[in-house]
Amino acid sequence: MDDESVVVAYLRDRDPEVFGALVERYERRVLALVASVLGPHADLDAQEVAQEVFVRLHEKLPTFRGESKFGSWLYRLAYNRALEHRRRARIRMPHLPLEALGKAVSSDAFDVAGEQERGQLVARLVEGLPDIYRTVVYMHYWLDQSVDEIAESLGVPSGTVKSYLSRARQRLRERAKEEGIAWR
Amino acid sequence: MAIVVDDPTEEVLRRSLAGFPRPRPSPGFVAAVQRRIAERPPAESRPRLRAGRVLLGVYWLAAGLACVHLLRTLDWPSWTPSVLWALALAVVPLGYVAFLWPDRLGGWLLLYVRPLLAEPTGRAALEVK
Repeated sequence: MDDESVVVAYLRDRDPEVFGALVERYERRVLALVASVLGPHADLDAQEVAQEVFVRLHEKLPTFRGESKFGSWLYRLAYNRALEHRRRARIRMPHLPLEALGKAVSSDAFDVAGEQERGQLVARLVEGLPDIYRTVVYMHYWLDQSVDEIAESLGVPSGTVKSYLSRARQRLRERAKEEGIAWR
Repeated sequence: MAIVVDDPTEEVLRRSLAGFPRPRPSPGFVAAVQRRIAERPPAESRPRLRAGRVLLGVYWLAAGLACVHLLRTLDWPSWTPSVLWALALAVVPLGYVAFLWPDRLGGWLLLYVRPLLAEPTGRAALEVK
């Protein structure tokens, strides 16, 4: 049964199992989208916000008119809710000064830095990106989502996602350069 | 001290972010959602929310009526209604648009006002082929 039929069936019968099936169908994708907006340091928040998205979906379901695909509508809801949460909660990653990183590495080369320090440093750079760039970077490089999957989740063409990724990498290289990291 | 990354950007990103745990829905995810829904009454039946909206509506209505009453008691010159209508019909919406979308207002002005100010070109404004 397609999503739209499930929605119609749920609105008609109000069977919690039907709604549960809808949640099960989308929980992974919604959680991934929410986690990508919030970043890798907010796992618990991501679970909470993803659940909240489905609660909101339940409230808004009667207003779904089927003008867009149900999935796109839900992802838009999830993206906006996650962004709202991020702005309100002012999620910040743990501070890692560059001096501390310098002490943590045994030579001048970044590639001998521990995996954890490298991850923290890169995540700090990614956190400085605008919302949409940061989200696609996390979706693609952290959660291994394909360009097409990201395009579907964000409701934009694949070419736009590729362009976001390219510009995000460019900005990261510039930012890394400013911070004295030679990113080749 | 310069920190050197030898990998191309893509590879660095992938390798660095791989260290963070990937989110997975908790085992009771669906049940937790169902519980939250059950605990949360529908918006229209939330008495506090509804009462708040009614109170706010009454407040603004009273404020509006008081304003109208005060303004009517003042001695206004005869041209006041014309000025007020001009403000309401042109200046206020334009100011609102300029505040929210300054680029769009600029675009509209360019689109609709510039042709009025420009010299006639002798060509028809709309050519039908």
